[in-house]
Amino acid sequence: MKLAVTPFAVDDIRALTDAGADVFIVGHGTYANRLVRSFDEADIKRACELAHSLGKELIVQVNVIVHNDLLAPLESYLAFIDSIDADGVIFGDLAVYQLARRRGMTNRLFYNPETLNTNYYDPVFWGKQGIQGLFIAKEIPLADMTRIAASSPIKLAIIGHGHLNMFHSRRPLVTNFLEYQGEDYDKYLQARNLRLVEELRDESYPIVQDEHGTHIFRSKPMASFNDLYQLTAHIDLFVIDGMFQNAAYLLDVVRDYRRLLDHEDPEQARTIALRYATTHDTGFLHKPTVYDVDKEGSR
Amino acid sequence: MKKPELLAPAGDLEKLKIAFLYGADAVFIGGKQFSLRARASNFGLDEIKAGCDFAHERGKKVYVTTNIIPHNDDLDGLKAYLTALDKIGVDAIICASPIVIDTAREHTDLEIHISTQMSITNHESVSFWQERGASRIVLARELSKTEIKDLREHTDCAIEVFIHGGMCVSYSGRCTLSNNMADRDANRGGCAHSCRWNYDLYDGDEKLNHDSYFAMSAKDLQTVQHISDLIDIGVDSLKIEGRMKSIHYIATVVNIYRKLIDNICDDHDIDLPRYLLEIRKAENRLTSHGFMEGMTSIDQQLYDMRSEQATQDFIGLVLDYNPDTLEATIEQRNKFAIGDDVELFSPHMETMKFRISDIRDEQGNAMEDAPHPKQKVIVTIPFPVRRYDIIRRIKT
Repeated sequence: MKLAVTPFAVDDIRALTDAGADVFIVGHGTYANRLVRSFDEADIKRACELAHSLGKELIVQVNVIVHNDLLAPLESYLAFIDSIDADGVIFGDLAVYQLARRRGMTNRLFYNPETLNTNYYDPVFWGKQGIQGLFIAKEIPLADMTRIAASSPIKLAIIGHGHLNMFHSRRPLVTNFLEYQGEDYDKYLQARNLRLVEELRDESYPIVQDEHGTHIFRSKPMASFNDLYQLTAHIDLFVIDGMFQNAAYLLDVVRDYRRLLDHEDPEQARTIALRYATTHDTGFLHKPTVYDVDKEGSR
Repeated sequence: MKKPELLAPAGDLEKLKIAFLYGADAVFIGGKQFSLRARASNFGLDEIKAGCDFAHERGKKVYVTTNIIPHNDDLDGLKAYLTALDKIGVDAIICASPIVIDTAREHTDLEIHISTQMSITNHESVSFWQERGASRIVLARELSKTEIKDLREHTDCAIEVFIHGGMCVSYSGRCTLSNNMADRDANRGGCAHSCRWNYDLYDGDEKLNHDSYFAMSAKDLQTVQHISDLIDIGVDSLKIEGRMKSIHYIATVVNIYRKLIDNICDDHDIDLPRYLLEIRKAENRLTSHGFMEGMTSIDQQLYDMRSEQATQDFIGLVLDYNPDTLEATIEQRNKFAIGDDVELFSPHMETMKFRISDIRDEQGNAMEDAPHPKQKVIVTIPFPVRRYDIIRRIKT
């Protein structure tokens, strides 16, 4: 299992490599959703060269939902990614697959449509399409992951650590609301400091608005220390996402996972897990959701 | 000018019949398996068969939603179910998962439509599924007319566009608010509509909403003014959303779009204000054109309100009529009384007004009013009416 991480700057790659990262995920904001930072093409190229010089891999995140007017620029962007010899491309919209196939790049693709890869057949289907791998949906519990992995002909990835998103609207919901209240909103959008609190729930959900719409995230980031040794058997790419965090945090987290991966030590894993226990949860690893309930269900 | 299909929802067999009688070319229904809203479904295989028979006798079509995003545990019986649908003669299934699509392709001759849960927003994605056996793509609700037109010009695959009904504020199929906040899987029929709950919006510790909650609810979609453009663009199917809606809603909305589409295609003058007035009779939720004109603004959002009430204007459904005595047997749907001014809404004629002059129960006993839901009563209607005609109150 390789450890992938989302650097905040090109120069972070060196320290993160020392900390134990194998793969770096970067992207340009025009072509990607929910990046920790948008890198321009020059920086993506530099990041790729640096990663390769350190014997590491670079994946470009291209998970935008593609509307027709983005197709032409996207084509050029994929040509750029091809030209720098990036090791992977994460996509969430089938248009990226179609364009990449025409360039002969399918074997570099990872499919991450957030919610859609949920059963054993998804990697089988995508294996037939010739891609490198896919991300299992964030809502799939660990027990199901192992069953999906059993018959997967391609690499499997998960977001194993970080703030998971749970909502993406094309609508500019924050500015719409502030405009409705008669308020200036520009100052609120950049800082990524906005959050929602539901009236009956004692949790707060980060909310971000950008050029692709509005994104809402889970209240706590997830961590997988307690389950790491089960995941290593099934998952090829374990992503640590730094959304809402900083470079120092990422270094610490990468070091913690690397230590556990290099020297299997369940006791140590429990100790580390405890350190994260109050500020993090375990996502859906142990929390199956209900298939179907009565319409008048719980709130 | 190619006339597009008018596609309507149906939550049960009665609504299916109403949808067809009031002008739908096709309906979509959910069975008891592999469908979002499966628990709310009244369509067992027998009912699906009855629906298909009713449709096919009239040259119309039935599509069945098999649009969950299934987990491993949900897959039992998939092949048997799809095979049964094929045998019944279902005209297409609406799918959102490769295993459903490939199982259908391998074991049945069912036509494959790609669900809006897949959020298809560009023509390349349309081609992807066309190349893999889909005959029609239900486009994402986030597309403007300009985008739909551009997409149409780049594909020969049939495309379906939502024209009316509820909206996900999120890209459909990409939302897990409900999974996270209520442990209910939105993509397997458990959506708790968490996007319609009330929130406070904070910047750090500063609360930004003052007099009302932060809300992200979208107004319902209503596109009466855009149908002409959608027909010009060459959209193949125009879809009304709402399998949970009442027969009054289905009848009203379907019939308005039916007349609109026919009049546009026959090159008749269109009295848009009249259509807009008529469609408000279906329910009192606020509506907007969604993304039809491009990026949404505050006009497409619902603030400070939860307008969920159905209209009370639907007072009865005609079950039978005796032309000799002018007596109509009707099933009461909302309270009405002698002296009420009402109108008869029918797919067979222009809307006619009359006044309730008498009400009798089935035994012939005179009544002042009809207060009991679903009670069968007799009223005099001074012109011929037919089964499934609708009586509604005229707002004064």
